[in-house]
Amino acid sequence: MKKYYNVHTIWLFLIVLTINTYLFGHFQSSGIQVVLFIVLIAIIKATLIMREFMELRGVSLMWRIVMY
Amino acid sequence: MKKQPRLLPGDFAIWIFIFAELLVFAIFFITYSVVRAQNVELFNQFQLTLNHETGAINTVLLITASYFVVLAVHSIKRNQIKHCIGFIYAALICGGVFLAIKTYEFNEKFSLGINMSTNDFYFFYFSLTIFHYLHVILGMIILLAVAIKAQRGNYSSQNYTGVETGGAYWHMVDLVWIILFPLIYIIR
Repeated sequence: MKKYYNVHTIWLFLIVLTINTYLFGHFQSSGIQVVLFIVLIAIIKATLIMREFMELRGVSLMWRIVMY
Repeated sequence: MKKQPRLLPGDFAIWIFIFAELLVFAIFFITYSVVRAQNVELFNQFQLTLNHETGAINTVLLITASYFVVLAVHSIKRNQIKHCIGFIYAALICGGVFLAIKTYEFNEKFSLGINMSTNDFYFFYFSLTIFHYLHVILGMIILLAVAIKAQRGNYSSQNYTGVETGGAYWHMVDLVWIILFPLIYIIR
């Protein structure tokens, strides 16, 4: 299967997500929906770092469960 | 034929260490969330005194440092040792700027007479960020050791476990900040 992303696009995506999080702080956004959205962004970022940067993609299921 | 799972990159022992470190930070984060839930107004009020801009810049710095570490690992796998060393030093520069910004932030707070005993919010702010700050220093020492060993010709495309091990630790430092930044600086 052709990969539509690589380490460079993942880095760029992580930066875009960080700017997104910063804007919520800058505009002092609050409320349960905002909190859930910020948490979702953090989970996506953490998953990308573990999967792509720490190279946990493809390791045994046990280790993926332990680390995630 | 069933595909065999890949082995963990780097030295296995570092993953036990990383897991233990992440558990400690997770306990800190859960405790912060529980205490915050009991005193939302105080936490929201003092959260406004934090600098979101420097927090965001620090996040970009750590993500970029992690990106350089990934490039260093990719380089050593292709036997591009000079590239590998260059990327590790680039990551170290990002880490150094992170520490400089964080030191400026701490100094700013201390000069205003704010410290860990000021209130519950600052207790968590200082404990979590200083604990993480110490991990950044340790991560930089490990990366520097890897860079020096690479300069001495200890790593190649056949032998790069040390680079992966140092890289895995650095990514853990980045990972913790990815959660710490929204939790302390943003969520209200």
